[in-house]
Amino acid sequence: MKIQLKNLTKDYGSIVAVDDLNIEFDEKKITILIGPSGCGKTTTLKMINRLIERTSGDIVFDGKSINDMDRINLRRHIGYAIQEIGLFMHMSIFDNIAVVPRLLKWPENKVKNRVAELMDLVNLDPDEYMYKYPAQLSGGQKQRIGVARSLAANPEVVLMDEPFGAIDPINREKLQDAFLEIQEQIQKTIIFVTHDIREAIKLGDKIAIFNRGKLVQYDEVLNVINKPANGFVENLLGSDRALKGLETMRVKENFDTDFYSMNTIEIKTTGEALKFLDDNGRRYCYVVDGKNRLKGYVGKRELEKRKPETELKEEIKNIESLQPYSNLMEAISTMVVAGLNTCPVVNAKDQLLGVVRFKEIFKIAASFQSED
Amino acid sequence: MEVFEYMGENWSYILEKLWQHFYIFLISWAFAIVAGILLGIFVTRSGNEKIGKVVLSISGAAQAIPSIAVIALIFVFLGIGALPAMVALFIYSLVPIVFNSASGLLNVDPSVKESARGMGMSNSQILRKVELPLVIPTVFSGIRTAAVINIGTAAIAATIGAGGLGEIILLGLRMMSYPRILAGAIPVTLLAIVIDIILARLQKRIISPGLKILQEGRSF
Ligand SMILES: Nc1ncnc2c1ncn2[C@@H]1O[C@H](COP(=O)(O)OP(=O)(O)OP(=O)(O)O)[C@@H](O)[C@H]1O
Ligand SMILES: [Mg+2]
Repeated sequence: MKIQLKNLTKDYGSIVAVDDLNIEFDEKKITILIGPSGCGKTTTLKMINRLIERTSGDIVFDGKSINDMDRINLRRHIGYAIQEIGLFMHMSIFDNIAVVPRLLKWPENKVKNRVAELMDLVNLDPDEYMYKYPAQLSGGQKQRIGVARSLAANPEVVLMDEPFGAIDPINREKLQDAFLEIQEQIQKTIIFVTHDIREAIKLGDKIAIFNRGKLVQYDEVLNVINKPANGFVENLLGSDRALKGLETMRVKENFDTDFYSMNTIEIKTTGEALKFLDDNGRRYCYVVDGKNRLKGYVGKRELEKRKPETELKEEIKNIESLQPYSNLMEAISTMVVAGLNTCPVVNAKDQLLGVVRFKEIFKIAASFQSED
Repeated sequence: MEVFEYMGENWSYILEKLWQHFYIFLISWAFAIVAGILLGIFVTRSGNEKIGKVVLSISGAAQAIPSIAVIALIFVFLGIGALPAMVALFIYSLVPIVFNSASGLLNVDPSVKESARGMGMSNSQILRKVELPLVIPTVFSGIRTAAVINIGTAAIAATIGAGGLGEIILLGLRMMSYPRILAGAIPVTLLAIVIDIILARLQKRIISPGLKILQEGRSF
């Protein structure tokens, strides 16, 4: 669905929260609204689902003015997720996700399938969590349910107001990765509010930068980084543009698939593992299970100290991993902290996809510097 | 053991008074539940914030008024009999129910209501599907308090001709007869305890497990 904001204004009397805003959102893309506190991001978002009534201007959905739409029906067809999540504590996870489908009077078996499908999508095992209550979930899990709920009735448009704002940094990165993986599957038009520039760069296809109710710059992420409209945007971006450049690049496009891994189905003992390493001339090797899920790694030196018939499972050591949607900046910091030259990449289901090499990232960063 | 002798000899009289007592309690309490919840809802709807504040502070303060004062006032305005007594009991039970309903509804997390509205619930759906289920624990504890004080106050209401077990106690006091006093006091106490136990059971049943987990989590 195409959404246009035309001369959109919200005047509170004491303050003009949104001032003559004109934007056309790209379909099936993530548009980020960013800017300092009080610049009118939330107000803009809430005018789109009419939680706030505009003072003047218009909002147009596929050529149809918001005036000609029933407010309640409109909201049922636009997904909405907020920082506070606002889950219903008296309802099970199932009932929470089922709210909008039931408002739309879907038959109950369709609702049920949809809930299970969405829980899979946000990576929460339906069998385990469907009948739990929000109070039994962690913050990150609740946020996933909030996202699932906003997608429940399969809306074309989803509004999200700092949905990951209250999550600690480590879990936030994981949620962001999962979110991008989900978006690749569902392809919704997403309008996403944040005040974190790193989140904006990581998630956005386009970024709309606000200051005091006015739109300062609206462009694709790389263009914003390369050609900030003015000092305000430059400030928002921070100083180090080479590193910011790395933030726009994803592990997904920059990992190698030539790596070695052994499978616990085929290789069961340390003796077999040593043979595998010798045959391939390796000192280390990743270990995966029958479903290609990363279990860790083994090293030749350690294995040699064991009896050959020792079970391989006992010798597997944990290893940090990256996700395809992590950006290269995150990859560097993970690798530095973990002391890895090469880091495995796994998808949301923990399946091993490839490896990222420190050297390669370095080359990319260097190329950014020279472009300046 | 004269008590049991007395009770044995007058069981049908005591049973009649017990029934009367239960009856005035039940009617006044039931009306108070309905009126209390409705009033609580009304004063917390948007636009009624001012009345809401007034009702909340009045009902907050009124919980401290002794029951005898309410009964005395009703006597002054409505005179003697079962009906004035029930009016007094109604008013007295109304207070905790209104207070708990209104304060419960006012305390519902605004972000929860906002997400309900943002998903496309109408005002009445938000009330029925979100707000009321969330405040059941608070409202219910008001209802329980009301039941217990109602049964106790009903005994005092015998002074204005309410009938009920209070009548036996009053007669006993006048005649300085301990068996009579106890023959009234024991059933009143039992009635209050039994009703409270039943309500406690009911409360466990109707409160959502999700909210129970929340409460238990908090109390640690
Ligand atoms: N109901 C209201 N009455 C008056 N002013 C309001 C009202 N709601 C918001 N404002 C003002 O409008 C401006 C924009 O608010 P808004 O919530 O859109 O900001 P925001 O960009 O989302 O900020 P934040 O990052 O802090 O969430 C702020 O100055 C705010 O104080
Ligand atoms: Mg905001």
